[in-house]
Amino acid sequence: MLLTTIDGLSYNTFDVQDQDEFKQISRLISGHLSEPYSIYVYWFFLNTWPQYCYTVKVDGLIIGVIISKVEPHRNVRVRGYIGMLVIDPQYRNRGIASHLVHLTIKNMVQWENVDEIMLETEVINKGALRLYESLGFLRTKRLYRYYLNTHDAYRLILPLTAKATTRIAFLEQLEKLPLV
Amino acid sequence: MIEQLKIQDPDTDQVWRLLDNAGFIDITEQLFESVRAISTNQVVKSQYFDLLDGTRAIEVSNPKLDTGLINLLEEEVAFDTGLPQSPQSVAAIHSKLLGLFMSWLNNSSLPVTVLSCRYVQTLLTNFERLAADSSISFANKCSLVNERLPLKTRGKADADASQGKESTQAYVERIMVHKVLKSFIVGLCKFIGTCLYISTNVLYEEEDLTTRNMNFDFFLNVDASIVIKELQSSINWLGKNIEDKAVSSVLTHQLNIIIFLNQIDSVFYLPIHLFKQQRDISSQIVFLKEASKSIEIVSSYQNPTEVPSASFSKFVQLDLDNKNIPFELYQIPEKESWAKLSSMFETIHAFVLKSSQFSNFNELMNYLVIDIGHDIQNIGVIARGVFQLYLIRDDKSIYGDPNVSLNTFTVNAIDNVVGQSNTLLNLNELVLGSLKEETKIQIEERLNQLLIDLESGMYHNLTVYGNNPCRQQQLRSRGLLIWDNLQVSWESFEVEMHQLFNIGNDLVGGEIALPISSFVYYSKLQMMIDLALGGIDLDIYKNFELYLIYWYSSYLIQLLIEHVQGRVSQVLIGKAHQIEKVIPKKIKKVKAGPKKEQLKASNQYNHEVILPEIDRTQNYHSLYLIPSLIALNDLLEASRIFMIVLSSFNLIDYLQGPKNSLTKFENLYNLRLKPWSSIGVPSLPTFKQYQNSLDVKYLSQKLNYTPLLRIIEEKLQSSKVAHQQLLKDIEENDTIKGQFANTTDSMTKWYNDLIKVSIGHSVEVKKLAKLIESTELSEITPEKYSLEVSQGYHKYFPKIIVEEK
Repeated sequence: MLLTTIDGLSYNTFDVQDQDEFKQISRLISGHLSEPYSIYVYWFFLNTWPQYCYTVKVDGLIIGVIISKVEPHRNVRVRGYIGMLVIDPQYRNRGIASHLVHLTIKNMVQWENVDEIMLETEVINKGALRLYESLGFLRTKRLYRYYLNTHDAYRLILPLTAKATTRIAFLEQLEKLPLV
Repeated sequence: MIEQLKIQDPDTDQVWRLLDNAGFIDITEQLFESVRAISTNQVVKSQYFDLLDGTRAIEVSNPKLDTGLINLLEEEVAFDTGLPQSPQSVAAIHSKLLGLFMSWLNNSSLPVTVLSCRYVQTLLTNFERLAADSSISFANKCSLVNERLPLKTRGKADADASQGKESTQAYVERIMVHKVLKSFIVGLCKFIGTCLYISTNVLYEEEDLTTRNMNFDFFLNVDASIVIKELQSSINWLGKNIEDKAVSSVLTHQLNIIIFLNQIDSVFYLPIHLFKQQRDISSQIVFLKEASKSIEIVSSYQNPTEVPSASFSKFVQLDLDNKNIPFELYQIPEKESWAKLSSMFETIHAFVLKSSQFSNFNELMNYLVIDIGHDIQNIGVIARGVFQLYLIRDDKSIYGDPNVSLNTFTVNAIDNVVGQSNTLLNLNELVLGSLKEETKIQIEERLNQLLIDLESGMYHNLTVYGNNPCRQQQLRSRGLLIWDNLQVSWESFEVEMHQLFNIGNDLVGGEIALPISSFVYYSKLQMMIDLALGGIDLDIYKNFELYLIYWYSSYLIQLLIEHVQGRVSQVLIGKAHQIEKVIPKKIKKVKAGPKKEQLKASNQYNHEVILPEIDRTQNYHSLYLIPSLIALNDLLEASRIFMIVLSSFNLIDYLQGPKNSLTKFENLYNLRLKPWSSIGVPSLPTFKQYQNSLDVKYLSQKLNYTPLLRIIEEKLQSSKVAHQQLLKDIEENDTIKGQFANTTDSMTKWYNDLIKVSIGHSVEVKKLAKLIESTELSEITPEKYSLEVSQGYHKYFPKIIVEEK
């Protein structure tokens, strides 16, 4: 579904019924992210949270994609998580990634009132760090040899509410857990 | 269908099946038929299969994720591990395996390093198959005969020999494989098993070490002495049967290296008598030195022969029960692997030897903080693991000293900050005598629990030093909660004991001293500071956050200085006062008799032992601890004020955050300080206080900058002078140098680096002062000048340089 058009490029919500879109997305990601993801990982995100998968198309071809989810974190705060973001190298440096991140965050806040948004990125991925940090994401942890290629990662968090800045032990549960 | 898939004829169970489809059954149709019931767009999975499993899952038909699609050459599939090999060829395999072993420890995994060796796979597979059969000897279980190859063609361990047809060369080459290479592999695998044991206990899987053991246990339950015996037997055989002395020597040293590796765990049983004169332990760890010599000889050998073709491949990834995705084989350059192997032995030797040389508690702690904690990125992963297990033994003793349990270590740590003679740690009948039995029991129970909690806190602290730098930060963050809780519980216990029973130490004026809480607060502040400054080296903070970190760290250091100069000092003075004035008066009043004699003896001990210790502690605080904290704080403050000056020209902003930020700056402030936010005392500075600290409205004229720049210069200068004095004291001052005897080099580097920071910053401040003097203030703008922040001389202080665009 077409969401908006920016600089002549169409921004769309992922169509869960469209097998071709799924294939295009997985091809784009596997071609440009260092981590090899199984089909399960794509389905995990796309099937459960299709509303947080946005594509950018040129002549029907997907040239950019962002895949995210929203879940309670330790049942004390609502956390948005950006799982993957890839732009075809041919279309980089045009602000497409930034538009996709903005779109994702705007909807996460509007629909689910998220407390924070989190992601991980390689310490050497200067482009990703520049993008996210320009939007206010902070490096909260360095994760030792996090990726299969053995690079360290930064955990980045964008804090949106007071809950995001309070230690878990000091937050109330979102809902009572069922008695086992 | 499963029945059909089972191998019917073991003799035709040939690895050749991996090359073509002979013997395989096509189940494509059945598979598609069975999945037809699944509706479109449904993920069918076990409830235990989560996203993390998914990120590591195998995907059929995806070349990046399906090990079934790995292409192997025919010679790789049919490689015969039982064939005889020349001594040179075996030496080449040994060296390659040692290189792969070090590659595994260098961020790789076993299937793409050591297990890529067909000899290793065959031997471990044979052992696993025969492990339970008690009628077969250990040596025979570890066979290198590839039973899966056709019987007629496969290499044998002993077949022809019994018929007397074997030439000398054939005999030597057969034994080279079935005895020498075999014992080498058994020994190497045994040590891999030791590494896995270390990893399970103190390292993080897929972080410090990536195992992927393919279900082999690497002789975990086999005694190292059996393995060493096999290796020794091979060495003896080599001496008698290999004429080429050069290769014989190299092979012997290769086997020796494996023996030395398997002796490493002997250090876990080496008892050290901390802080006491003891026998030189060098002789017990001489193998760690000899290993380096062997490595030097092996690494300089120019082997004309390469490893047998196809002896290393991806075969194991395709052949065994593999839960991982395909990976390329991995090997670090040979030179690097020798250097790392040598460094592993040397590092272990160094820390074992040093542990026997500490003469006091401060020396040990300074060593742990500086030599281990701050230098951890230069220590290899296994040496790191060995260190942790060597420091805190299975029985929770420290360095295996039977007299230093975690409990005594904790008491030592307390004594070292607030002095000995802490009443609550020495509750006896003299103290509790007048209380009811029930009350006594209650007090003892509560005290025991508090001591256990305190020991847990100390244990937590001790685990920080040997962990990787990222984990160190996470452990410190967790430590804040532990120490904050300890402070709350100990403070209430000490207050209660004093108020209800008048039990506890007093200050000179008779007020409650709170020695244990004072120690806990001291430890907590230290950890808070370490956590804040530790993030700089990990590149956690953006440039716009550096001011906040310096501002907050400086605040914490000031609190720590005040605490040591104030409460801690008063506690120490109070204790001395008790010993010198109060107790003698009390003794005088007691009537002559056994009680008086007992008190007199105790008083004598106090004067001869406790008082000098209190004196030493006071001296350490006043001559080293306080000056070092002040010197560090001066540097932090100078840097912080310099940043204020820079922000006044808008060369950097510390109040707005990124221009396009999607959140309030206050949220960023609170997120950054989240790890400290739950601490009760000291409470977190408010955002308003932070904003006020950056008020630069008064910097409207050139004149206003002069005093500010002068303050920066003075602080840099005083920090430099103080650090120079500390360096001198560490080397020359009799009171101080004993606390650093084992850390002199690292401590010297630490302070020299801080001195360089003072000098470097001073140059930049002078440059800025000159610029301000020679330029209109309105001309110093971000459009004309930029700020460059880069790696500095010291891990806490990056270089901050103003440059004209």
